[in-house]
Amino acid sequence: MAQPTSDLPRLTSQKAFDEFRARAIEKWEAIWNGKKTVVSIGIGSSSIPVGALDVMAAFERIADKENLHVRKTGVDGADWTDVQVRVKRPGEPAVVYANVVPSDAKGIIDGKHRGKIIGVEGDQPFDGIQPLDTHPFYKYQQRIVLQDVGVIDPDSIEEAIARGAYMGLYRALFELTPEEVIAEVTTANVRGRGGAGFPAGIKWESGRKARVTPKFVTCNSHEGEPNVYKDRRIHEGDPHRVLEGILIACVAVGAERGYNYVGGEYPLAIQRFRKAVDDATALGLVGRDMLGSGKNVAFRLRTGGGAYVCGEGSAMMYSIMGVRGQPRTKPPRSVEEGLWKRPTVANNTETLSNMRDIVVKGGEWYAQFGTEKSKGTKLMTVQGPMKTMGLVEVPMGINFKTLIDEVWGGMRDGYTFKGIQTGGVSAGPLRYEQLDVPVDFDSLTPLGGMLGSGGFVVFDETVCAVDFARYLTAFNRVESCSKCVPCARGNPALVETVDRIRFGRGSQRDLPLLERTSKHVIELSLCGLGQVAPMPLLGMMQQYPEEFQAHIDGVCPCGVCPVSAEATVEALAAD
Amino acid sequence: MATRAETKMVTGKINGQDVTVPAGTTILEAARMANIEVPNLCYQPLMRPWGSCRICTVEILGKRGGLIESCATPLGEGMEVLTHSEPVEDARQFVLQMYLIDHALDCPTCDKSGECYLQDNTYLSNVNTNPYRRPKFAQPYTHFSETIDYKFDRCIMCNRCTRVCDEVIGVTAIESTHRSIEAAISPAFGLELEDTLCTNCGMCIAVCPVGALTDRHFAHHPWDLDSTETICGFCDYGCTINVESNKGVVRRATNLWERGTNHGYVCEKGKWGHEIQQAPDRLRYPRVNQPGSSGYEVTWDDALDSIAATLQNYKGSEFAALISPDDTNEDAYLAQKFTRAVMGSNNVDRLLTTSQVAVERSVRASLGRDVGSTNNMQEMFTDVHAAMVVGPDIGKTAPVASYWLYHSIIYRESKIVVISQDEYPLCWRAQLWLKPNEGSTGTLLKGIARQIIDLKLHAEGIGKKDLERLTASLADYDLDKVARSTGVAGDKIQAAAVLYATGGVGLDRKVEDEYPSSVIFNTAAHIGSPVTSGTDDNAAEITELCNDLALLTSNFGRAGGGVTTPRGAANYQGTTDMGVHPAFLPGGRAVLDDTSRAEIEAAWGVELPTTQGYAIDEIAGAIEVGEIKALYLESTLAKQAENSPELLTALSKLEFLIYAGAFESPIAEIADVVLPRALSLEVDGTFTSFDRTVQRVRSTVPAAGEARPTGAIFAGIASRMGSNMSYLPVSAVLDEVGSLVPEYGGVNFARLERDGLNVPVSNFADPGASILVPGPDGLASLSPAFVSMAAD
Repeated sequence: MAQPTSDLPRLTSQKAFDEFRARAIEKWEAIWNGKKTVVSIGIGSSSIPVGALDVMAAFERIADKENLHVRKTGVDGADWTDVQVRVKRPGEPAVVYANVVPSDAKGIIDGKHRGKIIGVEGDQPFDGIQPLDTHPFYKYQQRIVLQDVGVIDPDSIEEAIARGAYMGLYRALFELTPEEVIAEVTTANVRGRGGAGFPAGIKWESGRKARVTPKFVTCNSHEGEPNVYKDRRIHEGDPHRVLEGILIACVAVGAERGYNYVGGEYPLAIQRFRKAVDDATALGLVGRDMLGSGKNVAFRLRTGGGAYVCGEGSAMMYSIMGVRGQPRTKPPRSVEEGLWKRPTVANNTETLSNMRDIVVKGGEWYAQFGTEKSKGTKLMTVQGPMKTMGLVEVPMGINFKTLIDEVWGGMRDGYTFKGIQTGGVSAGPLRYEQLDVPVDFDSLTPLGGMLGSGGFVVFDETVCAVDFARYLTAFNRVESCSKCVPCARGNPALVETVDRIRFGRGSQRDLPLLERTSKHVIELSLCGLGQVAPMPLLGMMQQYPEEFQAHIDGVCPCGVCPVSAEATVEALAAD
Repeated sequence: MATRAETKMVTGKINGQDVTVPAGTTILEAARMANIEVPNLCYQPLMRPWGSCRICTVEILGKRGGLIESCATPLGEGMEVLTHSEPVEDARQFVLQMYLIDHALDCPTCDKSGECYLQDNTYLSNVNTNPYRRPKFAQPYTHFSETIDYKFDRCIMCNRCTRVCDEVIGVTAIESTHRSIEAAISPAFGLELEDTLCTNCGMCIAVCPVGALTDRHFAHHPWDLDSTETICGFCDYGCTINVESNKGVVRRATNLWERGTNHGYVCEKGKWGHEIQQAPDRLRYPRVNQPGSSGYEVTWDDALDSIAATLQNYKGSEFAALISPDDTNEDAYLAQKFTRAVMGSNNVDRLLTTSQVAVERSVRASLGRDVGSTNNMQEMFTDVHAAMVVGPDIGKTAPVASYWLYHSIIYRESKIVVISQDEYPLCWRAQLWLKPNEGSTGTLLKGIARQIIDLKLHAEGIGKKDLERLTASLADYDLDKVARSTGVAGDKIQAAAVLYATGGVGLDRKVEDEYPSSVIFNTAAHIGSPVTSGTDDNAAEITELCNDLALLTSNFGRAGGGVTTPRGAANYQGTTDMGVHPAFLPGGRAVLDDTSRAEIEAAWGVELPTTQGYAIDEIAGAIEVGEIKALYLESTLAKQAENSPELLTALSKLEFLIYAGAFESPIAEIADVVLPRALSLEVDGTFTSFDRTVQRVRSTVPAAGEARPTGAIFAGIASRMGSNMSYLPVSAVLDEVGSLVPEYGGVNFARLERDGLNVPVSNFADPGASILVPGPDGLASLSPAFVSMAAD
């Protein structure tokens, strides 16, 4: 476990922070302008399994001999390049190597392995290497939230501050009134990145107006969906950005207590974020009398136990309070009665991570990105047989085909695009011919898709629509919290009916039955999760009706489902 | 349910009918007020809306309408609601089909069959087919405890049980575990139920809408039972219970939601206590013990004849009667009337513990009369802002009162200070828990009172004389000293003083007029009880200080204020009011006061003894010295006589001992005559609870064997001694009480059929006094000028 940096001074005034920041910038510059070759290795939950720690060890072994400064950074999102290593020799721009293995270390320093180079930092070609930003994966990106991910050492608060961390908080504490902060957020028109797309400015405004005290701010970093990992990367790559966002929200709303709720499945994110909180507390950025401003924010990190439903706002609050995480009826809304029946502003990690730049550079600046109704950038993640798979931050409204074919590089050789599942497990799939649309909060919905939290799954021709629909429905069936009957018992009924079809025992009557069941589950469920639980199934039925019909007729076109197997529906009841 | 006074009203339309309700009332409750029944499963009065079952779905018309759960949605102005439209019925059908996939449907062998909400709703919605083919998901039955069974396949996960356990009982002994259809109810943290904080109150069973949580002691068809509403006879909270019997045997006690002072909720004793009615050691027939031979059963006539003949020889102060405080008002009245009018003795008292006696004297000294509460428990739902709970675990001594403390924490966010040696869930949910050293609770209270004076938080209304008296008596109790001797940190003592004196507001916030009221719960009467700790505390001192604190902060006479003193025995308050007291005649008239005595003499047509009799704590001594030679002794549920060594020893000195008991006991072996006495489930009459609510006790089953109520016993002896005292009809006894006891002047059976009445009730137009306010003489002597404030 990372220990908090012990020699951090406590900053008790604006001036002290200015001085500390000046020193931090000096140190930061010294790294890059020194005589050593700087080797930055992206270490995060995506690169550790492919040996990032071993790569780092390999470089460290030769560090003294080769005069290297080996440092770790977060993973910049390009998962297809893991382990990614950036080598900056004195006086040269940093060269970016992809898919490095430990045995490459010496060779890279010696100038070999040019085949692994994917680009060079900066905007000029160097030594015949094209700038990284011309690579399609990076070309379309507009990195605001991710600007420091892959750049700074996430465990170093000094590097973060040197790169501008806590300047937003600084401005919110000393230069702007809370009302002005909220005005900037309203101007930026940043909409909730958790999926619902509710404008953050309006939420903060109602939080600010609430008279009851104490107030709370919660950051929802619980990504339970099976194919989303954006918040995890922010925590792993730039935890201070998240913390700063929460603190800005606290100051703006007038809340003296902030919570970050992180899923327990993210040990590295929790570890790095905890370190960030400890360091920020030591510096006096969190706690009583922040930077001598007279404002207090008590901050706590809470970890979840792995229930998908705890990502729902009210369920998350129950979980934070230490009771069973289940959504509750609304009204009252959380901003009226949230944690401990007090006004609580709940925002997504990504939303809060935008706040530094909105406060520092202004809402107008932020609003220049994106479309008219969906401002700013959006983190998007993809899974499936894509060439350059990973986490990207693109402006809202990017064309879906561009996103898939260029940013994510299109399908790998040997795979044929069949569809893309949108909105995590909360919406339906889209076919390729529907993809000529801008990706934003409102454009996908008419097609039966959803931006949601920006998690996509591309599936190819070998994936059976019925089977995939069953998988997505089964996820909701297992993760239903058991509170509302329509969801807790309706989803098992859907799984059972789809299973009948999968096993070749379906009948013509089952399709209307699925639709009827889905209708009731959608209409009668209490929380957002239940209300969208049948969406993937309905989407699949709408996009691939012929496959459902084929199963009923006794054939699985992809050869995946046990249509003719001797299995019985009863045998499945157990799972 | 009593709701907070709302001025804003909203009008909506339910099924085309205009309904006007206070803002914030849910659609479901609004519909109930309009007599429109919305089916439901997970709704339970007094608990937070849960909204899981969707049976209560209604349709809201209009642009922003749709299907919505009526139990959690407040009725809005102009809202148009349909409770039985086609989409609604369709949704209900769907939900019920979902339930019935997994529900066991073992109705023929289910205890709940016939009163099952799922059964009723299935019938109402006419669900007769199910298109889903998933096999039932089943799990084995689990025995939670000696009394509670959990049957997973019947459970519909409405969470009523876990909610009642958490929100009302306050112990959170059961919780829901797992997700989706695998979700189940289980003892908290996967423990055995007996290792959790479970109080065995059985409320989880009571609220279960289906047969998932079942009473292991019960096995009967619900439709085969006769039910009678009566009052529980185990403590002086006065819970309404519904006793269900078959062929003269009580099978179970069920709950009448939203009825009585307890709104249906009871404790372990209310739920299972009826079982003592069928205990094998019940006394069933009168018995005469002859010296040197074992006792033999006799007829009532023989027994009463022999008693009457013998008692002729012990008229005057040689006779004493010790009456059970579990007796009804009517029984108690006749008992003291017999002792005074027929036997000419004032030696009549209730069987009390030392602590109860100490509390009684202390309350009488500071308030001028012995009242259990100057206020009404129903204020817990409407007026309580802050409470100080002093003494042994209130969860054990007055469980239902503790429920409302939890309830007020959740719904009213009331602030609570607990001062107790016991550690129980309220200590953790309260703002403050002060645990003084053994025996130093009184000192701690003095420290708190001193802090209130030091911080100038005492009320302006307090008289100068009182303040001087208190200031002087508290001179030695400065913060440091109290902190040292009680072992409670000084800042905690101060915080408790501030919290109590400011009604939970605290010093930071300015209050315009006066601070909100605070109530004190004082359970000192239970000191020495085997189930609680803190036996060294001085009950009299604690009681006196509780009253002083309320006086100091002017909390008497205010809604949500006052001092509440639960004292244990079911009709403690009533037996006191009836004059079962060596120094007081019915209505609190002093024996020594000639005018008062003359009134009673005129009414009874006899001359009454003019000296005070021996009190419960003096009787043993009087027997020892031979001043009392004949004793009528009753048994109590708390086995008071059996637990008093002095009394037990003294009994052998008696010349004549009549033991009227419900159960076999060592005393029954040595008594000259043993009379079987009926229990509270077997008698008619009235009980007066500690908050002075007179309620109707009804005979639910015939008495065991030939057991008779106390009143019948005394009436029988009296008639044989040439005196005319009638027991039947019992209502006539209460009418006689009403004519002699001004406080009961407006109480009769007819009025009590509707609901309980808060005495004093001076006449039949008087609604009763829920709060007693100090009289014109000021606080120095809160008594005797209690005047009744019209009930809100």
